[in-house]
Amino acid sequence: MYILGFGKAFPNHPLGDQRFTSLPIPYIKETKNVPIKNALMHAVNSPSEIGEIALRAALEKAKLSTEEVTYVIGDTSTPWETCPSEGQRVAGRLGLKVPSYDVTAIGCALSASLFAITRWSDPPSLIAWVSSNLITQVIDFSEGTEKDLFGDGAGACIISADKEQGFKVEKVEYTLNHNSKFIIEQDLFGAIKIKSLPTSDELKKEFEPLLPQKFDGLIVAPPILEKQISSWGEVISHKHGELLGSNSAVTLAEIDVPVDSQVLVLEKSGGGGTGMILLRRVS
Amino acid sequence: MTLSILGIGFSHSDIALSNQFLEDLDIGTNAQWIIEKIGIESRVISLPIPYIEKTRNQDPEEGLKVATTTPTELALKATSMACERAGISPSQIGMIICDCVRPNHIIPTEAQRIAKALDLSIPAFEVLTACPVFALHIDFIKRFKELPEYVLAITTSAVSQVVNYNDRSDGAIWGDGASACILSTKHLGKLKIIDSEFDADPTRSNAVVIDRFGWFHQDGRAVRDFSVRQTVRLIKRAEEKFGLDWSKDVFIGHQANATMLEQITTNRKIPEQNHWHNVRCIGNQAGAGAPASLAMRWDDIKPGMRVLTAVVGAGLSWGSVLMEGV
Repeated sequence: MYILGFGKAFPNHPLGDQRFTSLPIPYIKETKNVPIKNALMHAVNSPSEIGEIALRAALEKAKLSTEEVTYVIGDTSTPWETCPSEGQRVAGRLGLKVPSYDVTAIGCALSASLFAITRWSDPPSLIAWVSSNLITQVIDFSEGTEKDLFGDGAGACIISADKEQGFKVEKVEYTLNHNSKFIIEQDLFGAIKIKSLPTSDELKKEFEPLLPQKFDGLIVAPPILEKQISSWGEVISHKHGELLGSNSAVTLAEIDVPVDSQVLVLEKSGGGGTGMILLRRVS
Repeated sequence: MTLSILGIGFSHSDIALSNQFLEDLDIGTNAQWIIEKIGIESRVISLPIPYIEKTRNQDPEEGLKVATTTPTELALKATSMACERAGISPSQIGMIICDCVRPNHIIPTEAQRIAKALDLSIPAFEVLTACPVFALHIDFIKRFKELPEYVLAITTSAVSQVVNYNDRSDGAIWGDGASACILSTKHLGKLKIIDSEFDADPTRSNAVVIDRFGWFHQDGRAVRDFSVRQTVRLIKRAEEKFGLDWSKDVFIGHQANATMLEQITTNRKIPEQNHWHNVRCIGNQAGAGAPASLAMRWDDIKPGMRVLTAVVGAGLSWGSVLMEGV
């Protein structure tokens, strides 16, 4: 299984540092985005719009046309609609008439999807994967640390069993750990809340059963956990704020990995998910 | 490697909403119109009747607060029945996939919440497409080269909580329910999977929508035409490929509305006794409708009997599963 190319996209409004928001800045200043459910009336972009741009970027990177896609898997933790699926909305925007649906595991979206796809006996020939999370739309800017940590963005990639190009997927693991110290919650009508962040040791304990025995390459980590993982090796995260399921694809779209080098992608979801993807650059 | 269904369970909300009640809301409908156009005699919902009478559920956030059950609770009840029928303990489940078109919580996901409730630290994630999800779940699981000993596939929804009861059609359609299925390639079950397919036309994805902060809405006429045409196409394909005999084989369709199902079974000459359904008394349970109908007739499944489910809906997407009694 190979990942032929990664893509990323962000809304246009800078939120300071390198983060972006899909909400107008004056709206945030005036209302603090309270109540959350009003955000959709003021937001400039939907998750599907940004997801479409990220997916087109991934296709360009993979040197493929939209028409070559045979299957679409989507993810979002900030849906404007809980039905249809995000995969179907993005595929529809691209004019695709192919099997489309969502595989959702919050921050472990890519590892959960690859966990399945890499274990299939006859995978579809070209899978477009996209995760779009416009998290500032569900932030209460009047309180908490969430407003300083999260951003808006989408990541995408093109997955193929046939074309030996980009990154080879060497190993994927995904599971749940109900004793996880990393807890994020978001009620349907509520703001996103970080309930607990793990220490480096607690996080290592959660990842240890999944990690490869030997690894000395680059580690791709979620921005929100970069500090805890920083002592494990050479760690990199994108700088656009925590983007949940979009994190890994966004970081991998931004970095240059030498041919034949390995990359260890670590993913965590606030619902107890823990994911690991071991990649090797082949071209 | 044969994929088998070892046990399948169902659960529904327990508040009955009658056609007469909908007529009395004075929203431009009456009991006779509902029977003639939708064919649903009653439905089970999770909103208290006095709440609907008073508010028509104009604020779905309030609806969520007063609801008598949650999608998670429905899913856990269905899972309990599925495990009992499969003769396993929930602790033996090795993977969970779930579909919920309107969860009460976005984080954690419904699958992660269910895994936690069952005290299972295993792979658990959403595989979501709404109404045709039974076909998607079977097609998704069937692709695995190797599976854990037991896999749990759940679809759960409480769509009544996102219905605008000022709308004369939507209020008559929706019921709440869940289904749960224990699957295995390592053990033979009561049903073995013969064939499955799943496909979509996402260019029509805005035809059926549940707004996150709003209500369900759909392009009713277009969706109905699509549903009838696509279901007939799925049945014809199965008839041609597997030589189905409707004098002994069974059909289960998407439980959207009973008159639509009648139109389909008349077209394919499927006799009433071999058409299993629950929509007349439960309402449309989104993705749970077809598998719950199968679960409600679990004891009627005989060796050699083939059961075809053909399901359609949001996405727009569709699919079918052909099973055979073992």
